Amino acid sequence: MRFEGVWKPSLRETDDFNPSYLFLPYNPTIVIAGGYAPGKIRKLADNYPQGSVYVFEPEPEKFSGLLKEAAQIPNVSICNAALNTHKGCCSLYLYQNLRNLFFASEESSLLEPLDLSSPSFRKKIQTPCVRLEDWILERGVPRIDLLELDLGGFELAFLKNIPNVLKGAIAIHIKTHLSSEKKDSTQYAELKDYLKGSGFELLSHWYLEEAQGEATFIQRRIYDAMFL
Amino acid sequence: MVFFFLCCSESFLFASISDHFKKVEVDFPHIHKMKNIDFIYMINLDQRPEKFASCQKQLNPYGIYPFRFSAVNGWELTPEILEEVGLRFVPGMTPLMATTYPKEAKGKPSYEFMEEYGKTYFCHHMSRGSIGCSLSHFSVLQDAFDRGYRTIWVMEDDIEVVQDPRILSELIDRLDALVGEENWDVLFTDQNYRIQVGKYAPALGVAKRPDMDCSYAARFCEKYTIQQDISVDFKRISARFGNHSMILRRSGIEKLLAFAQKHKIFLSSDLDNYFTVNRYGVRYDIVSNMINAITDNAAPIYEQKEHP
Repeated sequence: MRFEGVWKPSLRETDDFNPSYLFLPYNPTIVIAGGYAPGKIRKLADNYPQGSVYVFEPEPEKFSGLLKEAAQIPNVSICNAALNTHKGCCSLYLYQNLRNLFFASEESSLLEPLDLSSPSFRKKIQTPCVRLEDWILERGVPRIDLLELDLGGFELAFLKNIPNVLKGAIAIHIKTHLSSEKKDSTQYAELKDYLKGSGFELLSHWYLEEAQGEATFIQRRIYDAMFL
Repeated sequence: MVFFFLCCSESFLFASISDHFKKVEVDFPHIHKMKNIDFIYMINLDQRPEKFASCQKQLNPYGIYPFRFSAVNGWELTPEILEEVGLRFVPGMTPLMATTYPKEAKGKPSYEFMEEYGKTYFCHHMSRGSIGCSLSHFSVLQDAFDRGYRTIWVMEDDIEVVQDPRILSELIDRLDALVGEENWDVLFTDQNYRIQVGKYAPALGVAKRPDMDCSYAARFCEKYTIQQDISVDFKRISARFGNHSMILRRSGIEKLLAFAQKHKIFLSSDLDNYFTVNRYGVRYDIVSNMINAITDNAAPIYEQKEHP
C-alpha cells in the first residue's frame, strides 16, 4: 500500500477508522453509500447518539443484512436505493474484486463493465435510485457533515450532482480508482481535481497502485487552519 | 453612561477564570520545601493515590516531601464551567478548527470550525482532562502567588527521578548567578519530554492560538525557536512539551496568571505557557516524566479501576 497526504492513519486503523471522524461535531449527519459494513454503522450510531446516519444500500441481500443489524437503532436510517443523478429506477452491476485483498471482495456500481465477459462481473439487477439533494430536502435533513462513498467508479458523476451538499460538507471519505474495468469510471486524478475545485483538500489517501484506494478530503478552511 | 459601558465589557459580563481555581489548604507548609524552593507542589487526582505514592517513593528518600494538590478533575467539570474557562471567540480572532462542549452534547466534545462569536472554544481535541490539568496548574500558581512565594517547584504525578533532585537547590544558585535572579521565570528539571530513554519529543515554534498572531513568521520567530546552551548546566529554551516538573520564579507565576486571566484556556497548559515567560532547562535529566505513564488526560481511565 502507498500513502499520500498529510495525516497518516495506520493501515490497521483504516478498517473502521477514517480520519474525517476527527473533525465532526457531536451531532453529525453522516451519509454512507456502498461499502457494506454493518459493524461500522453500529459503531457510528453509538459514538454519535445525537447524530444521524443515513445508509444507502441498493443490493437487496446486503440491504436485508443491514436491516437485521441496524433497523432497531434509532439514529440510523437505511434506504434500499442507489445514489444517482436522478430519481427512479436504474441498472446496478455487481462485481467481484479479484485483484487485491485490501479492499472488499464484492462491489456494486451504476457503471457497466467495459467487458461483459470479464470474470470480475457477476450480474446486473434493477434497483430504485434517488438524487441525494432531493432526498434530503424531502426529509428536512438540514445538512450533511460527512459523506462516506463507495460507488464503484460513479463517485465523480454523483459529486457533480450534489453541489449544495458539497458546500456544507465537512469531509468526504471516498473509494478511489486508479484503473478501470467499467465505462466512464472516475479516475482518482479527476476526482482529486474536482474536489480541490469544490473547496476540499486531501487529508489522506491509502492506495494500491493501479488498483484502488481510500481517500479522505476535508474542507479547505479546516485544512488551512490545521496545516498551514 | 460609564456604568453602561462597564456592563457591556466582557470582563464584567463573564466570570473570571480564577473563579474556578481550586483553593489549597496546607497543614504543614514547612515540610514541603527545600533549599531555594519555598514550596513543592504535586498535582494529583483524588482517583489516583497510587500515582502519588509512586512519586513519594522516589522523592522521600532524598528528604523531599511534595504537597499533594488535589487536582481539578476535568471529567467532572460542568458545561457552565467549561464555558467560563475557555476562550471566547470574538471579532478580530483567527478562526481555527476547535473543540466545544455544548450542554446538549452531555460531556461529549464537538469538533467545529470557529464561527460563532461569543461561543467558547478550546483547541482541536482538547479533552476535559487537559482542561482540568490546566486549571490545576493555575490553581497552584494562584496559591503560590497568594502566599507570597518567591520560588516554587510544581510537579505532576507521573515524574521519574533520574538523579538526586537535591542538586536543584545548587542549580538555582547557578542560574541566578548566570542570568540574574530576576531574569528567569521557569526552569525545567529535564532536557525535554521523554518518549523513550534518551529520546525526546521534538518541539519548535508555538501552536496557533486564535487571539495571537497565527502567521508562520510569528509562530516560528526566534523567541519561540531558541534552543541555546548557555553553560554546562543550562540551556535557554522556548518550545518544549510537558509540564511535569518545573521550578517557577514569582515573575513566572505572575506572568502565567496574567496570561490565563486575559487569554483563558485554549491550548493545553504546556503549550500555552510558551508565550510569556523566560524559559530555561537543564542539560541533563534530573526529574523527568515517566515514560508510558498512565494518564487520565485523554480519557478518565481511572473509571476502569473503579468499574473493571
